[in-house]
Amino acid sequence: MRINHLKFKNYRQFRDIQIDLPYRQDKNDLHLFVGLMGTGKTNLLNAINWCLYGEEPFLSKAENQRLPILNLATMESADNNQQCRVTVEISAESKGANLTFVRNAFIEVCKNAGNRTKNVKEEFKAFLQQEDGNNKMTDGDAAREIVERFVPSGIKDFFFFDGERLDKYFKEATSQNIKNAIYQISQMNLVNRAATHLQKTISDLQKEAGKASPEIEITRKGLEIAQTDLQTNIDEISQCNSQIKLAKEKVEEITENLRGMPDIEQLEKERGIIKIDFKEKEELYKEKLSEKEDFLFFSGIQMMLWLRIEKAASIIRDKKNRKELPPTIDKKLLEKLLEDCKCICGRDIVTSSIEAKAINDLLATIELSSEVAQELMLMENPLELAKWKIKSYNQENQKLTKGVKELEIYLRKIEDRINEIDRQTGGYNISKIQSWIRERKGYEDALAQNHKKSGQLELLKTQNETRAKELKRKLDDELKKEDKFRTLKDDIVFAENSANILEQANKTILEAMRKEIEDITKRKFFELHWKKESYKDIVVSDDYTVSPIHTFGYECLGTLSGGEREVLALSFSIALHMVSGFDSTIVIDRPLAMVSGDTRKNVGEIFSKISRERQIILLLTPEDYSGDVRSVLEDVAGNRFEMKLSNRELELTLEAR
Amino acid sequence: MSKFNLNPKILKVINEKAGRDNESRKFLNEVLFEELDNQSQWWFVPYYKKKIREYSEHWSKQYENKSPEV
Repeated sequence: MRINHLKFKNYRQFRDIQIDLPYRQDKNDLHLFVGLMGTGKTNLLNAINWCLYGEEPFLSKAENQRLPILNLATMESADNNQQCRVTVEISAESKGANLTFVRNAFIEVCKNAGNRTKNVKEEFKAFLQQEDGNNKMTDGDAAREIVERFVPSGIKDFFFFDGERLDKYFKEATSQNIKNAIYQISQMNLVNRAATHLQKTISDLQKEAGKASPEIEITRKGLEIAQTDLQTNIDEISQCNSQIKLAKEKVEEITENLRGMPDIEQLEKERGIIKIDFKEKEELYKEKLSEKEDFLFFSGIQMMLWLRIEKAASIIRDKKNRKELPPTIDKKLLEKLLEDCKCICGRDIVTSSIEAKAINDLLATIELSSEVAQELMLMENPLELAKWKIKSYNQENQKLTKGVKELEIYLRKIEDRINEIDRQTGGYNISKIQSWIRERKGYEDALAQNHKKSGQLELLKTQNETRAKELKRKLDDELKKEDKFRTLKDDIVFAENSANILEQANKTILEAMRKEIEDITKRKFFELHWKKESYKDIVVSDDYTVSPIHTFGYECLGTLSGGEREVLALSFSIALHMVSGFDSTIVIDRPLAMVSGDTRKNVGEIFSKISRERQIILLLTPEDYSGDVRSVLEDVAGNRFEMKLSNRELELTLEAR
Repeated sequence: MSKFNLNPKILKVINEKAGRDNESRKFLNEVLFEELDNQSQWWFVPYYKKKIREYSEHWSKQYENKSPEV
């Protein structure tokens, strides 16, 4: 579809604008709109979207909420409750057929309510030129169906897009969207629909045979159940694979987000462990310190008493040497014997007898009473211990000091490590990182579960496949048995043969498209990219996940810069256009917004090249359209329009250059 | 013939896959153009049955005593 003419009435800045985009033989089919920010470039893209699909996807939220679709100058000049019409009309051609799409919105201006507007109604019409030259007008669903045939809404994002948002392209356009788009672009949805219809017809033909024969009906029903089970398995496996893919993407995305960040989980775990250790060792340190203080305190006392201790110990030693200690005779007992004049054997002791004298002599040799002697004996060990302690003071003091010092060093090391962890985690949003880690763990678990489930489902699928094949063979045999089913059997076999061809074609086309998209994406990417040597390949997988491969062999989509990502998106979009059966105009708002340096010229050259074969409309700022880009595009562009605002900046004017 | 365009690659691959099986090729081309022109039609089963009958008669004669996967 090539746009020939655009007509705007009262649409945002486009109060009364008509744009002709004729194809000129001597130029490329390239049309440039150059204007400052706010002049309405993005709204030109919105207008095309609004006309064809009834939506304005590139409207900023604030703009959408604040400004009505009705041109502000028209609104100001309208009377109270006057109904104004907003119109966008696109005239186009496709393979010789002329098409016109018109969308009208009827807006009522409520002057008394502070210039509020009320959308009264909206209508959409499509005019398709017939073979006889007359135009056939359709509206509503029929008109929308015509749009779907020329630029399906599912793939419009690959034809009408905003260069400023291209860096988010692969995040927003998930591979499932891309896959759906590929189906629409290649019309494989048509092939799938035909295959489904064919399968339903085969099933219907089998039912017809079943009505005529109970045996056939039993087998047919069995086959139907087996096929339903099989389809359920296939759907569940597909669901499972989608979950696996999503989980894989999420794990990769989160891993990418966490790249270069500290291993918060590990560090936090370590911090937790060493903090407990710190507390325990700190307690121990306090105990050791207290032990040392006690030691010093008691050692001080003992040292001050050293002389007395030594003297007391020496007295005891002397007494022991003189055998006075320990006491061998009880002094009190001897005194009692003399006092009672009775020997311990009961004999009387006469005063001045030999026995009495012997006892008195013995008493004279005993200086210490038993109590004193006992006391001295009890004192001996503590005194010796005190002496030993004083003598071993240095050794004990060194031991305690060493223990305290060691703990001090250990605690300092723990403190240093905690500070190091703080330094490593400082400046990061720890709770965010932790939530990413938790999220990743969840996706990793989901991945493992779905892998397991997928394996079980594959086994069930194989069993149901075998069952369906056996029943199918049985049904064929039963149909062959009776001649009355000959026609029906022929129809079924023919339909199955056609379904088989369709299935093979489906696989071949999809693989060829994937390969072609991959090849073109790769070629364009390397044509455009300014650091070719950093990448060795671009891989487009079966599910249309686009992966640039770094020279070192790893997948590196996540590490591409905004500009590089745009180049990849642009290459992929061009590939989609080139392999599509659709020849729609490509409209890009600010295609150079995120591109700088040499790449600008390369991108310009790519547009120049593509516009030799298809219509391209570029919406540029004067900065975008300068230097190398201007030199590349100026001579080849079929039209260039300067966009300016007039009438208190409420109305766009276009000047053809 | 449809007023809309069918991706020529689809037709090309179907022709390749059908090989010398003209009946299946013609049948598939016809139903695909019909699908293109009339999306979401309720009557597709009778339509397909009619078309299958139309082509299978000749096809069966042609491939009688031969494997259907020609």
